[in-house]
Amino acid sequence: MSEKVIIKNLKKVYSGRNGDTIALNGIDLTIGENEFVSIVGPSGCGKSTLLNIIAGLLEPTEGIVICDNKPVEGTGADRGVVFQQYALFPWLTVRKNIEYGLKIQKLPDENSKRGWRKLSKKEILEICNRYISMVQLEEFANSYPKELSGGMKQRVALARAYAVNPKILLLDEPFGALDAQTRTQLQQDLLETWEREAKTCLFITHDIEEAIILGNRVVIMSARPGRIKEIVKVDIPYPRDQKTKISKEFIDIKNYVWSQVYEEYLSFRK
Amino acid sequence: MQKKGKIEAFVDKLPKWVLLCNSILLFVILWKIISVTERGRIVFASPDLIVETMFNELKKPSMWRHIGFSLFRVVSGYLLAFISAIPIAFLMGWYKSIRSIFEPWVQFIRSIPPIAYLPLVIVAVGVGESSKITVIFIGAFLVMLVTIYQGVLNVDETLIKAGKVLGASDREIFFTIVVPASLPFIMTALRLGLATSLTSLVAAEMTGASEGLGTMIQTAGQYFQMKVVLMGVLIIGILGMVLEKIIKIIDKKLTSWQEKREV
Ligand SMILES: Nc1ncnc2c1ncn2[C@@H]1O[C@H](COP(=O)(O)OP(=O)(O)OP(=O)(O)O)[C@@H](O)[C@H]1O
Ligand SMILES: [Mg+2]
Repeated sequence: MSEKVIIKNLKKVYSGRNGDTIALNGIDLTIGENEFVSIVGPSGCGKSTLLNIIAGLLEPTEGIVICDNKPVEGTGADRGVVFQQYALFPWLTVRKNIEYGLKIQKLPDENSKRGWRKLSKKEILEICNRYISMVQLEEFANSYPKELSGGMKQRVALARAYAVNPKILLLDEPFGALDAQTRTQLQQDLLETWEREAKTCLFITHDIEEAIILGNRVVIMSARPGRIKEIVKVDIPYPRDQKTKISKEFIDIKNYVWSQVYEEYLSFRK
Repeated sequence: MQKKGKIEAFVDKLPKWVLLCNSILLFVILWKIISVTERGRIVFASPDLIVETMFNELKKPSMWRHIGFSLFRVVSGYLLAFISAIPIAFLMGWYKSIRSIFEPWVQFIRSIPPIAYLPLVIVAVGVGESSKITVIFIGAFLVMLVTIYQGVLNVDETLIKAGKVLGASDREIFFTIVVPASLPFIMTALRLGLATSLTSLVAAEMTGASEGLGTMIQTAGQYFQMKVVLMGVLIIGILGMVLEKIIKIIDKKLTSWQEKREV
């Protein structure tokens, strides 16, 4: 597996009215190509901060992030993000939301004077249709976000991120606001898509089961200032499904991760 | 939903127009009662008399000239204010440097009633139409400016982030996210601006005019013709309602995507 994302000695300090907050301190992590890495850790340990830095939405105070051998500078179409709050454009229909990234995308094109071209209407339509059916929202293609349930909204957000075909997908507690059933369904969908369309995924969650069922590895972060406490390898072959959750290997890993996270929680309370 | 009483449940089922008629009827009755009392009679002429006066007056071209002039002043001041508020509000919302320069003055001038600076306006632009339009313009402009730039400031940060990670440039973020996301505030601005324009109409016509609803009301007031005053007030109210309705229709068309509390 080649290295896709390399994070070196990352530090992030927020300065505010109440002095400085060290959100991340000395994060080192390498994510392989097409690997699925989950991150768990106590609230406020800097998970979102880490994800936003990789996405290019935030600048680190120290250290660097390298994607595909290039240091990250600002956002880029190679890195897609799915937010917990869905972040759908409420004035656009489901279809228009998914088309949004495609319409502004610039593809390298040698025949063009500018060196790039935009996708044609037909191409946009095709890609859009493919992802609408991937998330099974054909019936709602022309609905506005306000007419959708939480689970449906998050499926649109996933489709929108997938449509521009980023090689790296960053997900910040995407299923955090959903009920257990919808959550399970979307985990399954995500796993299937990940296996079908090769992508490198970084998945933040509070749910330890979710972290294990999805990830090749689970990164456990320690309470503030955020560091990596431990990385647990999940040696359970894919395809995984809900039955995996009752296997002995799964339960062993879950107990272990849980004890580590709990230890963090206790030390934070002191 | 919370448990409601029997009356509330009954009212819930009635169509809107029935409720409106009911409300109007109740107030007309109240008005009639007041108009027959000793003291009430001095201020409130009876509703049937007002309606009669209105019908008679509306037959005369002079009445239509009053309405026409006032409408012209309100609409032109209002539209000019809107057209100028839009770009400045977006600049103020988008660039902190521009906001920091304008904001204190906008807030300051906004709290001054138009009548106070009326003489300044007259000296500056004369007593003609332009002074009336200017007075209406100032009030409406400031209200709309503040409302729209607050809207631009309040555009959900995660939507901007979502645009960025999908590859949008600053320009694209501005036109495809900030502008549509501010639309509900623009519509609110249009409504507040309209109310302000009508409010300052009467003040504006104090700059001396021979026509206009405000002038008509003031003149009638001096001669103690309360039925004409009342009629003028009613006509301004009706004008306001009609214009407000037009804005509402546009609003419904443009911002139906918005999540609204069901009422
Ligand atoms: N813009 C900011 N300004 C100042 N401090 C911030 C800012 N954003 C985050 N922080 C602080 O940095 C720390 C890490 O925040 P972050 O949002 O990354 O945590 P998190 O692990 O994602 O938490 P959660 O699991 O609750 O989402 C927190 O202590 C938070 O208070
Ligand atoms: Mg977070």
